Amino acid sequence: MKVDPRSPKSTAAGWIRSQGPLIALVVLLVVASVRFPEFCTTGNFSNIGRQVSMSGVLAIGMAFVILSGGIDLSVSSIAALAALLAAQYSGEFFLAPIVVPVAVGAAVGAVNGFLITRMRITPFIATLAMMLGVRGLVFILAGKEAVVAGVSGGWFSKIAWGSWTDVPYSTMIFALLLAAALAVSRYAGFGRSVYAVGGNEEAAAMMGLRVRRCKMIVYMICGGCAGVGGMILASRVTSVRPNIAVGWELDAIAAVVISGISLVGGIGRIGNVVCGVLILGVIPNIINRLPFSLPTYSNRLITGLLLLAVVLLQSRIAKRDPR
Amino acid sequence: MADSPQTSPLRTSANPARAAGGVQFVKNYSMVLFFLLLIILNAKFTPNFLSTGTLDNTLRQVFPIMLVALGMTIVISSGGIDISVGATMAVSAAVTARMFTAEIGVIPSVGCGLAAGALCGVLNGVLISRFRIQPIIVTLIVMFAGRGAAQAILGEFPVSLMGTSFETFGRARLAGVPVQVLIMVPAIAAMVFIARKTVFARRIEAIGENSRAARLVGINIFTVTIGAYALCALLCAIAGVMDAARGGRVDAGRLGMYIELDAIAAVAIGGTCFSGGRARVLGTVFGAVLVQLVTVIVNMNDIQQHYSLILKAIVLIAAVWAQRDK
Repeated sequence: MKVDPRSPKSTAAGWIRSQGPLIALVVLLVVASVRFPEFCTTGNFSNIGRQVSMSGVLAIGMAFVILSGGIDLSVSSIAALAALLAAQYSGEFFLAPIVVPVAVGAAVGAVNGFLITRMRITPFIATLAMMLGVRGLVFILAGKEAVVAGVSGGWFSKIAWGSWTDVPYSTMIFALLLAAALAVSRYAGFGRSVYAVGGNEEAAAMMGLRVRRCKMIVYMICGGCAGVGGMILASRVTSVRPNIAVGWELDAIAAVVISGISLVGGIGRIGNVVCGVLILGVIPNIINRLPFSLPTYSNRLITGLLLLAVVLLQSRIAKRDPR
Repeated sequence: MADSPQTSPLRTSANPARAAGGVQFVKNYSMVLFFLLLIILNAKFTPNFLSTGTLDNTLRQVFPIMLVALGMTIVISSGGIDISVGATMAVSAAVTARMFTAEIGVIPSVGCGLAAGALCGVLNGVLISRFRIQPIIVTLIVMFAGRGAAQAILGEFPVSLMGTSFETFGRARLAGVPVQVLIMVPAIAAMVFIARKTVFARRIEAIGENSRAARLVGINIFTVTIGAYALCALLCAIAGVMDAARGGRVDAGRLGMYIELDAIAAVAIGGTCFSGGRARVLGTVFGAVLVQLVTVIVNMNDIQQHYSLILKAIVLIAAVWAQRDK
């Protein structure tokens, strides 16, 4: 049997460790289904699928960035910009509201990549600045009314609300992107160089990998994914406010961390992102079903505590498995 | 953060050369030059810019950014980052307001608020040094959970403290000097003293430069890290309590939101290296004033508020780019 160098030793214990996110998700789903009969229905699942597709798409891009050893805080602002553009073009000819936001997202990602690779600014700072700058741009583009109305009821709103045999189109987009990301991370040369760059940048450079180019592409992918997320968001809402999608970068980072991808870079599996995203998506759904009503802030509190539990577990594993 | 000493080729020289030479001078003082340029341009073009009113406003409004950025400087000098500062502000303000409405007096309630804030920092420090989780993740968690806890303590809706002795204190002046300035100046002095004269700051610096080497020379990373984050959190707590006092209301869901961005920008402008090392406190002071000045100038010129975001982004990138190690 081939041993995957990215996962711990292929023992039973190692398998459990590497599949932690999946196990947590399954436990969560089973408990919820047993406790609440109406949880385990197609309607509810397609509802969850609809809700997680946006943050899920963002998390895919974020996973690439984090695997490469960086971080991208600007995804929320990019998503807002993309949503704004998508809403503005939603009445235009076919594909414009899809292509424009994604292309602009990738372009902003390229600016991130430029700042990080050419101007050599730490990813955290560079993307923080871009988060501020792009958000400012969104406010300015939205203008005085501060609301950009999309065309509701047209084909464009079908992206978020339409579905094919109970599978929402937005969930399909998420699934397709995830499959593509999985294939790239496993089988493409680029995917391997992302792991190499994240694992040890100097060594990657010495091996002859084009580190700058790799990072550039990674940030463009992340920007493009944020663009897709923003596009789905625009089709979901009837009007886009400039403060839309604030804080999404944290949700995306949280999903990536829960899925077991290390912030050090180079460690983790893209496929597990689906677990992280679903865990974060299922929790509010379960909270809503509780017989007593919890205040809205408890969502964040529980997300925080869950994150804490996951990273504590990871740090224990890291101690036992000195890699 | 992601830049660990082994993996980053960008950090080959630990100390930026402080050699003489015109280019080096401009590089080292680029932000000061930019600051002077900003002042001169606005003295010329902005009406009423050179007035005590502007000074007074800037000094009072810069207060939260200043205190948070001072704490952030210490944390960043230890090689970490604290994005839970806004949530820490909210926690301390919420506890203070809660205690105050329970009528236990101003000073005990402020004491409880500061203690609760400092506790957030201790939590950060313990999780980072004992469990070896990256600072950004730990403080992200505390940011999530702290914001939730603040709302749990105070409730989801804003609580008014208008007309109480607490609010009077927030607007108090001594011989025309706002109380914010009276707190800010000693705080700056204390932080300069700590950063320059104490062993504590040397230890923090050592951890920031090379935590493994610091451990090998016998520095107790556990206590020093906790100290750094607790100090940062205490400064945030003061900022949070004063913010509540000045506004006369506490909105646990919004108080201190996004202040981490301004504070990080101030530290970056001030020239403290993000991979750890020397804490440049006076640089941070200057950076905080610069960040606030951008907001003030945008307001005074009736420019749309949102241009200040773009301006701040440009200043931040320019600052880090000009000061990066060669």
